[in-house]
Amino acid sequence: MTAGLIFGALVFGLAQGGAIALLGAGIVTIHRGSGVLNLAQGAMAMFATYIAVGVAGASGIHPARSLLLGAFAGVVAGAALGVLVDRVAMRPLVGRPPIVRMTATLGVLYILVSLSQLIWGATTRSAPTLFGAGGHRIGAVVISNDSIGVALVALALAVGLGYFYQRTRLGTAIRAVADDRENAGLGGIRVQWVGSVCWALGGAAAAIAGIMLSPTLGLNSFILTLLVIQALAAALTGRLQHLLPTLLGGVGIGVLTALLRAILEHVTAASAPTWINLTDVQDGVALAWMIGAILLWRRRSRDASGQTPNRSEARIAVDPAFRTAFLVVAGLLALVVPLFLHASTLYLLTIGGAYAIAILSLVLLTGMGGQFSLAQASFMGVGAFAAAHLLRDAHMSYWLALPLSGLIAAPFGAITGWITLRAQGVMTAVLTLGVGSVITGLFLSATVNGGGLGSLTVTRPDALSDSVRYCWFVLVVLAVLIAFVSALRTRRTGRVMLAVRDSETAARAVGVNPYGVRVMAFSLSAFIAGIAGVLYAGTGGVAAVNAFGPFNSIALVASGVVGGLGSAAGAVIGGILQATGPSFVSGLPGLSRLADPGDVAGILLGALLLVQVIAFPSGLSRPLLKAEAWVSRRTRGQLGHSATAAPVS
Amino acid sequence: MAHLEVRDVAVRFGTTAALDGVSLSVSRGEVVGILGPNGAGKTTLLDVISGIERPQKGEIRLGTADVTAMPVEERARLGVARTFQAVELLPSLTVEENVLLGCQSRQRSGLISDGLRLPRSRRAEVLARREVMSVLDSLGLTLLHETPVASLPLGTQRMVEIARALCMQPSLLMLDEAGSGMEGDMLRRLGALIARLARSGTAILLIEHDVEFVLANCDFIYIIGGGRMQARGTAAAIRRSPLLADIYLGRAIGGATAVA
Ligand SMILES: Nc1ncnc2c1ncn2[C@@H]1O[C@H](COP(=O)(O)OP(=O)(O)O)[C@@H](O)[C@H]1O
Ligand SMILES: [Mg+2]
Repeated sequence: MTAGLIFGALVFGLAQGGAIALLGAGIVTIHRGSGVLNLAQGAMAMFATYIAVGVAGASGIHPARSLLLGAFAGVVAGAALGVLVDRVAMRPLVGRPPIVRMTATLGVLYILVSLSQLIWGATTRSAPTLFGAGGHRIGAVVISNDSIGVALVALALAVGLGYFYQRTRLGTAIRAVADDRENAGLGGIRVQWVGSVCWALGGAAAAIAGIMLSPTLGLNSFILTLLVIQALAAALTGRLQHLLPTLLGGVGIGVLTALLRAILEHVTAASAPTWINLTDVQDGVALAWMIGAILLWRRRSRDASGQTPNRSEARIAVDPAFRTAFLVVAGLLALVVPLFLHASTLYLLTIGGAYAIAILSLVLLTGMGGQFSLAQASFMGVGAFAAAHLLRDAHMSYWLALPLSGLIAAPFGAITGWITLRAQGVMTAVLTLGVGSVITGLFLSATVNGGGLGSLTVTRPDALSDSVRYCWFVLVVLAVLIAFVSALRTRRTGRVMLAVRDSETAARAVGVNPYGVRVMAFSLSAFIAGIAGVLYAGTGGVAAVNAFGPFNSIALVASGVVGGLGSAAGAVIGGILQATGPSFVSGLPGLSRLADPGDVAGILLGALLLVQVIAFPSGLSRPLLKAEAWVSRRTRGQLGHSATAAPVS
Repeated sequence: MAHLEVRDVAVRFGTTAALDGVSLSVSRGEVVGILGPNGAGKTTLLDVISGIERPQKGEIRLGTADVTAMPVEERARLGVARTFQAVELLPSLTVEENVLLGCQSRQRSGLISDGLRLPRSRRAEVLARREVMSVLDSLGLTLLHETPVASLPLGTQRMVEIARALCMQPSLLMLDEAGSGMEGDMLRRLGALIARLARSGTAILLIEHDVEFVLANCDFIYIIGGGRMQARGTAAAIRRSPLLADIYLGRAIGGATAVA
């Protein structure tokens, strides 16, 4: 391996890192100005880049100028998008807990991705570079003009942003708001206006990052959207507050990724390992970076005190007789209905059952355990791929492979729980997003021949080859798992989970190790998700990598929140919602020919998530609030609250 | 030898010294009270003993073990139970469910047996519920066992917290602001309970603002002010202390005075 290769990777990494840094700087800017951790930052970049490319292609003027025009349009669109998101989705959520507001940005992400697929289709396009083809030869390596241009633009913008924050009145106002919202408001700063400005800046930064990265990464709905993982890692370096560390972090991640990739390519040129997909190391680097940043962060701010979570909660008493009657009726329906369904509807019911099991894993984890997870689809994937290999390579019986696949997924959950032990609320979400993308991108995709977005077959046993029987089977597994989770709720294990969720102090005072409970909750949740993955894959007979990515995890959270993570019923509602959305849309008059129903359903789901989160402050999204209660709260009187005596409404 | 030994403990929060060279001991069967104005460091002392706060200096011994560096939950399993000044209950759960938590470390059932409703789990549950009902009975809370705790008045919530602590069968029971929010009848019941527990060999350490309650119910009393022990003695000795007037009036206590 030559020094020249390393040098080339270094310059390439610098350029990529510069763009990632910019994306991270946008996250920090939005977080400072409005207190929202924007997981849709990558989606905003993607959307604005599409607009830029579209305008450049349609303008019909001289190519060089059309590119500039396109870039300009993209940046304006990014800023406008930021303001729109702030006005429509974030303003109504001011004062709500950070985790709820972050969940709303997931809705935005979902809408943007679905909308972009609807408008621009699913194929990956190549995007033109602003800086012209070709490059400069330095010694033995050629540095592309694009790399040089991107690095220079990133540098210029970083300097510009720093100047803006330190030297302008608006920058000072943003810093004042970031330091202390209430006092800034009292001091005459229009806090909401500053928030909008930050969203506009964040959107513009996203657009620039997207426009600069898309020539090398390609342009589709997902690549830039998922770049948010690296950008979040960069932003965590700056503790979501500080610009300079964020920028340096972004550059560091870019350089590290490029170097690692160059080295790995060199080392594994002869024989590439089959268990890991080394072409996608970027998320691995990002995850490692996140963990490091959070560990450092925690060390420095051990005494950070948390907020008092919203603890009001209605108790829904269900009459046991009514409950029994309901169960009997539901059981009969599940038995009879599949017999009379059209094949396509039966398929949806089966898929819905599998989704319901996946969302049940979130009901357990979030509703009961108070933990947030954006890795559930990856756990599903582990289950599905484990089953595929067990069935194909080990010739195992399906009946053995199904539970074993769940058991294989469980340690992935345990590790995830362990990684997030010391994180809280939104940080858990960020970390699990990283973990999920590593599991799917690095490991699952490697087990498919040759890596990438392939799929494996999951064959059902003869006894279940009939689709009516398979539907029954899925529903029975769903019922069994619901019974399991509900049983926990009435016994010691469930009480201990609720204790850790609602008051870590109380839990520890009675001898509960909260870390152990969290790892346990994550393991069981991954087990259930793994089972869901096997059943899901069995429905169509294939386990495809792209059914188990971070984006699918987000969809599960969205459906779960809309259905309600507080109860098993919510899992069923969410599962049905997610399975039937597309066909519901295609049944709507006027829409059937208009578009891909899946995309419209995605937009609707995102919108429903927003409506749910905004319109029902203490409604079905309530369990999310519990996920916020992670900070171990001080138990003293001078905080002036007796939380239980006077529940905050 | 005393069951609980606190030796020369110091805790700082930034520049405030919440505790500064504090020592104290409680034997089994002894009721020890702590008096002191607001911000004296009383709660911090309980936090250090229960493990929520680590002292920068000093040592805490329980029985024969040095527990200074032991996490909260392990001390709890060793028999340290406490209540909190700002009540720490699970508001959405019923009184019974909250108190059941006190039994959790002795309940012999786990994830699998609970989820599958195995006989083992059922037995553990029945046993625990029986125990909880008898504790609730002794505190006069039987009728409330299905009430969500969020809807209860503060004094009753404190009683529920005490019930939860009792279900841990503690060797050391610590009550922070034991009787605040309680009055008349309930306060008398608390006094009787404390005496009964002491007779059965529990070491009891309590913080309480009601000076008469402390004088009437405690065998030994410490007065703490500004993070230091200002006085200590039997109830009779403390009754003669000039510091008592300050406590009654809620005045800060500064200088070091010692009573027998
Ligand atoms: N977590 C904390 N951070 C900073 N200061 C604290 C903290 N806990 C207690 N203190 C300070 O320590 C002192 C003692 O507090 P505390 O033990 O609650 O007193 P008391 O219970 O006697 O009213 C007070 O000055 C209080 O402000
Ligand atoms: Mg106190």
